[in-house]
Amino acid sequence: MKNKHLFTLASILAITLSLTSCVKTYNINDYNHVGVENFKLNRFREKDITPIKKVETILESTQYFNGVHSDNFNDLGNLNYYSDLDNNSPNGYGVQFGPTNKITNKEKSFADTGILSRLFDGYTFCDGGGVYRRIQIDADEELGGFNMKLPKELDITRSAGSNFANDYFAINMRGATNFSDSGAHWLKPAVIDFSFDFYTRTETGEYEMHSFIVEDVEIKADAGDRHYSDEDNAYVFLGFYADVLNDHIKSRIVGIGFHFDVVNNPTSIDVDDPDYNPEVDVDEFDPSMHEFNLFLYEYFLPFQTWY
Amino acid sequence: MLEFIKRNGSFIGFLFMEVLALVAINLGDFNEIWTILGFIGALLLIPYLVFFFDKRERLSLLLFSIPLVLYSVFISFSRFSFANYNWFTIIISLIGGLSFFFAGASLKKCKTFNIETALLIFFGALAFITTISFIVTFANYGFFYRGLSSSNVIYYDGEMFSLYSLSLWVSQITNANMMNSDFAIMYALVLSSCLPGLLFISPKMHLKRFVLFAIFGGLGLLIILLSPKYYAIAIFVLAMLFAIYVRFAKPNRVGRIVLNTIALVTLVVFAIVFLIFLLNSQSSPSFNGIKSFIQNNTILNFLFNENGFAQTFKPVLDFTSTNYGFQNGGWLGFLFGSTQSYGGTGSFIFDVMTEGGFFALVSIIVFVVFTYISLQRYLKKNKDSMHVKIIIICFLATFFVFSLINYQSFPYMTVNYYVSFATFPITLVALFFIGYTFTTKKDYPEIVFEDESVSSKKQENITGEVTNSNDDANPTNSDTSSGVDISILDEIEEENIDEK
Repeated sequence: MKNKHLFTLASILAITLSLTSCVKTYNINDYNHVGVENFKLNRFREKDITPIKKVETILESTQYFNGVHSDNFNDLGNLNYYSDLDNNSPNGYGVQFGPTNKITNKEKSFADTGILSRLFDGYTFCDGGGVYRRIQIDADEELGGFNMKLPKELDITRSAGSNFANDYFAINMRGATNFSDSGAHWLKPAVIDFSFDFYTRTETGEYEMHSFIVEDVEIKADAGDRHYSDEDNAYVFLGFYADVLNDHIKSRIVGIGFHFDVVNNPTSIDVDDPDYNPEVDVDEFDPSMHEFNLFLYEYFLPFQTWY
Repeated sequence: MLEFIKRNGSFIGFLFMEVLALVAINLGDFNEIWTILGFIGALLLIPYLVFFFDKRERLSLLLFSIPLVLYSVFISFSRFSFANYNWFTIIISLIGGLSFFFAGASLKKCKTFNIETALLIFFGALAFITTISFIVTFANYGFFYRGLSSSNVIYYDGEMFSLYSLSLWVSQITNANMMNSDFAIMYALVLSSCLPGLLFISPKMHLKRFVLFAIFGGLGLLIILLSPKYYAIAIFVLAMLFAIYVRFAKPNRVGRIVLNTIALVTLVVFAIVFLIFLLNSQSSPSFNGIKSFIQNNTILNFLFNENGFAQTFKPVLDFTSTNYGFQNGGWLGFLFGSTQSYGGTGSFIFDVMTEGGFFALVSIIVFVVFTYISLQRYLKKNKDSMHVKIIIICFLATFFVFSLINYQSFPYMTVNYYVSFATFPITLVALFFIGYTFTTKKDYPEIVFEDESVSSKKQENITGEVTNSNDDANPTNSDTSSGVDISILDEIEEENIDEK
């Protein structure tokens, strides 16, 4: 009889403990340094997954959309930054794109993914929270970019064709340099190869990486508050519909990632820029001293069934 | 009607114990539902107020409850309530505290109601939810997480939270929400108030109740120590010292005078300090004289402007009085409450102030003073076992003292959910016990109906002994103090022995 009680108690304890997962804690200074001088300290340098095999697929221009340089590809590609995407519009309108389409509306577990939950919180733009809103990645071959294990798995093949309008992967981001704030937007746009990474498991339990690359995208560095005009926008809303993956990935996606390569670093000042002010001292500008990073704000994931 | 009470008295008592347990667990934060249950229980108990109270005793109970009634009216029909709540919530807030208070007072007259069982059920439920929640918390953050890692943070939904201020609370079956740890530790502290009662229970004679109270209180204390929260520990130590004083020094006239003097001086100092704070936080130029006088004096300036306490509470007074102008109420807001919440003042006194205004504040302070006097009489005159008295007094004291210095009206970190002190579950339970401990200055004869003795004898056969009026030190009477719960445990143990 006594053993029975003990067993019940142990079961309750075991169930309670198994309900929880150990939360990742950070130091308050990790990735939260304010100011251009601390630019490099904020680079995200953690990776969950080390793949044993990499497969690369280069997307054709008809397969992805880019919110800035829209080629009339589809509805998402035609989004207007000012009225459709930006929930922080100073005039208070817009369709609340971020808050209504963030993945945490569908899967609450994405809110509990540590610092990377900044990518799923619905803040599509910098809202003044600065360093507390973004994930900053650089182009380093080993440590650049980010990847993470997903709290739930995604079976892309199961729901192909259904609920098409919401089934896309997209990231909203902007370029940034550690050139001084006032002058950064005079830089000519950088040319970047973006890579959306997806991780699957092999039969032996190791990770396999499938990269989907979008080549030669122009992105400006840090336009401050000037992103409210569509023509002159430092933000890039880049993505593709989920069925693009169907031909390439046959098993469940257990992890995602994102990284980039700089094809053409911004090396000169754009004197044609309407805001260019020759009186401001630009002597400090030396391309070799400065690096180009990406500020990631929101990663939109498909609203399909997650397992 | 009388027939009905006689037949169902124990049932209503039992129902109310369940309400206490449900209120303590408060699963899903359905305050309103538990409050309605308590209201129904209180309605069923009205006959006790009518038939079992001496006329003069009932009058003095009603006089005692006047400040509580005023407080409930001011806090429910305040500008804050009309601006933020619907009618349903306003009514719930009005009837909630009053129901629990009068139910407690009525159940005292119910012969089949055993206060010790009620305490065990309440603390059992509280221990259940608090322990599970803190197991989840410690599994996630580790032991001593509040003390060791002051610069550690976690992220949830993109937001950064200091680990120091966090606990996880199982408010839904499948989900643990991030809760303000000060709020969660209040539960643990209240739970630990079982421990002072152990000084009055002989483990040899009443092993089971000793073990139960030790487990409940021990869990509470363990949680406070493992978190750790220093001034919760300090409050617990004070409660323990009080119990040690009562146990070993045997309260006498001198002790009582010293205690009363301390209480009176505290109240007067509080009133004066409050008045100065109030005048010092006015923006109107007519108060500039007193403000500059305070600023020019180094000591006064430190006391009323410079220290952390002043800086925390001055804005609240600014907020509720003229500083925010008449759009937020001005003096109207000061007297009858502001229309907005200040966003958590950190003390129930100031929460009441912003919600219900100055009149609500005065009412609750008068009620607390009344309670203090009533509790003294209860400790001196009531026939309950000593450990029950001490546990109830320590529970009320720890709860009110902790709420005074650290009541968090926004318990959850990620959900914007406001818990008013008036509808807070533990407040309701506290009011129940205040009602139960209500003791008049004079003794009035107990009203016993003829059939009562017969029906209570029947009850004895079902639930065990009914009366619980004795001292643990007296072995001859010890058996009569065992409550409903205990006797059931006895039976279970006997069965176990039989099986073996």
